[in-house]
Amino acid sequence: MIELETAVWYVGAAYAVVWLLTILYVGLLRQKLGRLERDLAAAEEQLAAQAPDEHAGAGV
Amino acid sequence: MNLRSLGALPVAIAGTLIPFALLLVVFWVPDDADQGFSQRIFYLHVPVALVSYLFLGLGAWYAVRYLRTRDPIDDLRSYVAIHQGVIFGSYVLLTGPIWAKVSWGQWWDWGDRQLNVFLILFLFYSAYFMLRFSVDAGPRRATLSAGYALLGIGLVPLSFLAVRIAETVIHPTPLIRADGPQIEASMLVTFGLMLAGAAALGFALFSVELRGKLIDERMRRLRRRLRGEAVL
Repeated sequence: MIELETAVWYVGAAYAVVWLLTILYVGLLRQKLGRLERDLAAAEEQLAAQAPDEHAGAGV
Repeated sequence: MNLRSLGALPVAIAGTLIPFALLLVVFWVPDDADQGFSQRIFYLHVPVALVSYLFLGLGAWYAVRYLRTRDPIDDLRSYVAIHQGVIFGSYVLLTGPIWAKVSWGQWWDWGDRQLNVFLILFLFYSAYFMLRFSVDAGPRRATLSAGYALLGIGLVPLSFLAVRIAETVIHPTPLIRADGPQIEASMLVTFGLMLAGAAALGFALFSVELRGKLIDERMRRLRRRLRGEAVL
């Protein structure tokens, strides 16, 4: 049977790899949601900029 | 976006069960008679493998639903489920060799059917993304993706059963046989908690990613409308 200290390193490495990759994946998801928030803000601004023109057009 | 839409329940379950199961792995379960402390990789490796199978199966299920209903959301669900299956599959392929190295002194055994079937399964579903992104978005891409998702699903039961059929040194015994569990009760409880936690984590990530894809799609349509383009 392998030494305890060596086994602890391998077991720790296996759990750490999964933990780090999950954190990385969650980070990527967070980044994507941040991009969507920025896109939404830009779309809202564009909509707000278009709205006065539409009101002006409707008044003619 | 409310908490429910982000999969708050699976997040809470995973956030409770996984740390608790980790404590049990470190402080409660006994060392394995053959492998000693290193057998503790089992409590991570096997649950993530089962969750990988679960999501690949779910991907195929949504693919069938898409082919029946032609609802684009089912195509998106199938894609996200397969994505989760491949992510958890990568965990299996990373933890497996670490376990093999510490237990048997080698990273991989090309003669082991279970390992090779899982690798083929992983590569097959990795190629799904190449196919999907080589075709323009639309019904044709969704149909091709659904067909491909269904083609590979036969590998899942084959991979699962390979461990029972082969019974080699690397995967010596199935966890549960007809005459009962093959491991101690404490090991089985810890394994069950970790499996439930991993499944909950998978569903939480599935839920968040799917929600992101749906919002992305709506944003794309909104941008097209703002540019004055026709939206289908």
